[in-house]
Amino acid sequence: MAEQLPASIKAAWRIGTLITIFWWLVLCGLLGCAVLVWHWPNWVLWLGLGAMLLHVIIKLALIPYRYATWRYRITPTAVYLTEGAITRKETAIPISRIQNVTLEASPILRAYGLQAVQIQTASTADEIAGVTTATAAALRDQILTLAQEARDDEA
Amino acid sequence: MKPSRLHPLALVLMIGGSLIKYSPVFIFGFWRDFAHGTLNQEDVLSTAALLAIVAGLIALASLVRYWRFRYTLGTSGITIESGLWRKQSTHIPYANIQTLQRQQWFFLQPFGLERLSIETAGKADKKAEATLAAVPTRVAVAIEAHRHPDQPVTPTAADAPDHTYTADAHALNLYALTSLGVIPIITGLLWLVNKADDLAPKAWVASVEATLAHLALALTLGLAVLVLVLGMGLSYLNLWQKYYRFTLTATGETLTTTRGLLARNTVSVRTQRIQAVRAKASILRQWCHLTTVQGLTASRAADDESDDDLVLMPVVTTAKVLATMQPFIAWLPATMPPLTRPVATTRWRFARNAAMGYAIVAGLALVASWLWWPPGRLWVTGGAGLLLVLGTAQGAYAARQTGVAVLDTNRIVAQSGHWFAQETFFIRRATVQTVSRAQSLWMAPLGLTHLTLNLRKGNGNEAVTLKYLNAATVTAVMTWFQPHDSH
Repeated sequence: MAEQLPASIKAAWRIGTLITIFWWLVLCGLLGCAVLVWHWPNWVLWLGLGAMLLHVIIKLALIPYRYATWRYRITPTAVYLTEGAITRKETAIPISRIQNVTLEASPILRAYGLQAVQIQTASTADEIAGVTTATAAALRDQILTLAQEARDDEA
Repeated sequence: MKPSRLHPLALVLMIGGSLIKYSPVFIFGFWRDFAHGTLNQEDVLSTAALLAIVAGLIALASLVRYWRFRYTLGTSGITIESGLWRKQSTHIPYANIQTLQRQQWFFLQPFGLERLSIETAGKADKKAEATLAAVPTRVAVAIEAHRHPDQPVTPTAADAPDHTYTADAHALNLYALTSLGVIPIITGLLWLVNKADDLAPKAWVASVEATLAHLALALTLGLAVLVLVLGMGLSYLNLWQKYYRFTLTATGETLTTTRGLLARNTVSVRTQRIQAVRAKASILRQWCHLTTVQGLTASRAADDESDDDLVLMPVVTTAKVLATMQPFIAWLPATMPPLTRPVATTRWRFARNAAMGYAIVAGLALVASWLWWPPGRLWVTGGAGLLLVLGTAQGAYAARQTGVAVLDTNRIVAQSGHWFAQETFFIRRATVQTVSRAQSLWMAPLGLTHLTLNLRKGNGNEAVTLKYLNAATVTAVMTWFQPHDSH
């Protein structure tokens, strides 16, 4: 069965989106300097601010859809990740290709008791965006046990 | 086994290599004085003294590196010790070696020396795991013997290879002639000609210009022709010497390529370690029915420092690719299967997407010219239009190259087009790392899906992406990849 992420991830994503405002403000600050110092036209700054608003609003508006489409599924042979609000992307990671599983938590995720589960193969790294700390540890153990079994079968 | 040092000639090579690496510093140093026009003797002398100190330091660093470097061929692997302050000891088990590259410059031949690069699948470093700058050729023979304990331990030269392919002179000629490598060379030459004006001493330029003013047009034309001919000649000679007497041999499970006039390059790799085989043809070579065959390996510098891919056949007639390659790589299909391609009615999407990419660049250029460069508006508008046409053509080309075919439970063939070049990948299921499919909201009702196969290539990932395939085709590939799960 495909599992959904915990609902608290939506709040974490919202905060993450608000943090992007900071970077946009840095950019707009630079544009403002250019307007003052090199007499760039004013609309450059307004364009920057407009792009910031548009980006943040779209990102916030998409969070419920992003949440609704995010699924992960672990079968005995593979891990499947499905994500994306506008473009839905499904990735199949065979258990036997998995090299290691890393648990990672940014300060925002930690504040909500969440952890990201990174699944690495010899050339790719995919991520389950955030699950509760207990689930993360259980997923890691489950995937690594399956991977060990897959390797034993091959040997 | 006792640790051995590199051959003393290695020191010369190390110093030479470092000097070449830092040569821009030297060139810049002198050019600055020279271009100022006033050739002040004091300035030149002080620059020369400064550069001599830099050269001395470089030589000293090489000396320390040479002095601290030791290698040991053990029973299970090769051990390399190096470093003055930060001592390093690297152990590479023979079984982990992905590719072994031997490079013998012509001046090393009389001494029976060569450079060895040993590559594993380790992801840690950008550089080769181990490079032995100059060692006797018997070192490589010994390593090869350790790598294949199952094969009789005799000098490899005495081993009769199972299959041999030699690129004939005619094929090589065509390869060099159809190379697009001439474009960067010509660009470089044009830049030089353009810059020569700024960099040559002012007085000299003025006198030349005065004498030749009335010949300006003839001179410009002559210069353009000269640049073209010179560029093509350089590109041709470079490729010709690079692939001079190219041979591919198969001995047991090992493929070995040998090539090169000035530097003889030998690369060996186990067939099982080849992640995928790629047949590549630029649009120019497609017109001539020529294809290049490369092997994707899980180690960097398989072939060249700038290229991860091991060239298995520099050039072969497109119709004969599989027939020629199959004796070397048994899992390749004997004939090209029919590919499932995106339906004709979706080809315009490729063209639109490519044109859109160019449109952003063109749009920015237009805005910039409108604001800051009014006299150039016409030119920029024309250029932007050309760019859009180019993008559309590129997309339309890519659409026609896209296709996929599942051969059997273990093999798949994927074809795509990039930058006016067709790439056909022959892939085994066992070397596909992950597969993903993507579908936007508006693609869903049309039943269109993008497919990506991720392969290990060099130290990174090679994503083979096929766009706008039928959803059913993509589901079939997902099922091929993971037959036990529902898709």
